[in-house]
Amino acid sequence: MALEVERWMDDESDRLRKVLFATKPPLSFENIEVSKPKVVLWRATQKARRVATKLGRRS
Amino acid sequence: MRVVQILESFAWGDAIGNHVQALDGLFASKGLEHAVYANYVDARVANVGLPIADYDPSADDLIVYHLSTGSDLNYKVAEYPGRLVVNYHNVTPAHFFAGYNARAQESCKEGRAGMSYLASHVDAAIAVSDYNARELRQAHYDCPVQVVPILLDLSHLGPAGRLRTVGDRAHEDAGTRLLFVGRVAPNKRLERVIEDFSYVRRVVDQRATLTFVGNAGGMEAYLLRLKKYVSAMRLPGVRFAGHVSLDGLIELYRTSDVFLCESAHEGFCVPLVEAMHFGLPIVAQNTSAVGDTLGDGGLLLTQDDPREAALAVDVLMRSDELRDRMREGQQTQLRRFDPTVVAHSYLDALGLL
Repeated sequence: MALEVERWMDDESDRLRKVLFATKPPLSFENIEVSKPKVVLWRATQKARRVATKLGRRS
Repeated sequence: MRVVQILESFAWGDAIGNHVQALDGLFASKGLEHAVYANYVDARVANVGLPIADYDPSADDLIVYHLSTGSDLNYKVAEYPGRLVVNYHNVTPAHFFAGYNARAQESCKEGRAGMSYLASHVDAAIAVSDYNARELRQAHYDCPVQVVPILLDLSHLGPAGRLRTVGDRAHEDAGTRLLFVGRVAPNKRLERVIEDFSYVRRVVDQRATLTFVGNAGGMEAYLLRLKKYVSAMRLPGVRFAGHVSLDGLIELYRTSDVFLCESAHEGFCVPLVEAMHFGLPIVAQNTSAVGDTLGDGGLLLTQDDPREAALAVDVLMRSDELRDRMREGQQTQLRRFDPTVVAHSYLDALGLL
């Protein structure tokens, strides 16, 4: 069993806890949209172009 | 008899690849005939591993199959005539990858199905943690299941010990340096580490910094979202270092103040052991195999609340007694993961002693 945090809390921790719980929570990660990275899109576009060029050459 | 290790991907430098290489060396040192086969073999380990197409199955073989992902091998190994032992490294639950990487999601889903399928086809199983052993039993592995940690050779990390102590930090007039090492993957919950850090920075130490080390291959969408998150929070001091050189990694382990792990799912978590090797204080969320790997070598969070994580970082930085106690716990764990001890247990589990 690992060391449990509660056992090590002291008066200073109690004081900090009050401050932390009174602090405005940060922005939620849920509010950040998932979007495809530009570099991935760019690479995919380049690959599609190369394939198209190759196919064009073959035909 | 020949000991044959089989796995989907024999990569260079990842936890399973290193484990397989170390085992191959162990079998060789015991004078056993040995081989490694995989669907994918990295060119840098081509001197050790061969393509699975080259495998000539024999009833005399002892097959050690490393299960960690979706693969046709999860079914094929059951058809080989040799004795089959599954070494279970865990398969990340597929839902973590939803929205980020459909292929990874599918692969993990297939991995779980393969793991269930093999339950009635194996002669024995080795789990790298108690947590993994519990999963195997839940999946109806009625065969003998033994827990043997990953065979880790930490000699490449150089001598143990720290370059920078809390005392140095005060002299340097620098802030608390938080570190996380691991693949950039949603199951590691890097967003929660960032959230913890935002509280540390606002309430505990305004000069604190946070460094993430790890490859984001295949998880670019997740990495982008994390960066957008940091940017939207206007949070200074966060660095995504990506893959770093060995020297760079050692430097970070030796000069950081706290290793902060908020992972939701780990089958073992090698970086925790690396951090312990350097005596780096650890704060970690009590999930999956994290508690098994940590033992008394880290401060285990019992509440999933970023403010509690910030409090843990604070108390760890202030308490010499806690850090001393943690170092003792880390030494105990490191003895448990000593390669000589693990090698003996592994050979015993395979009936090779």
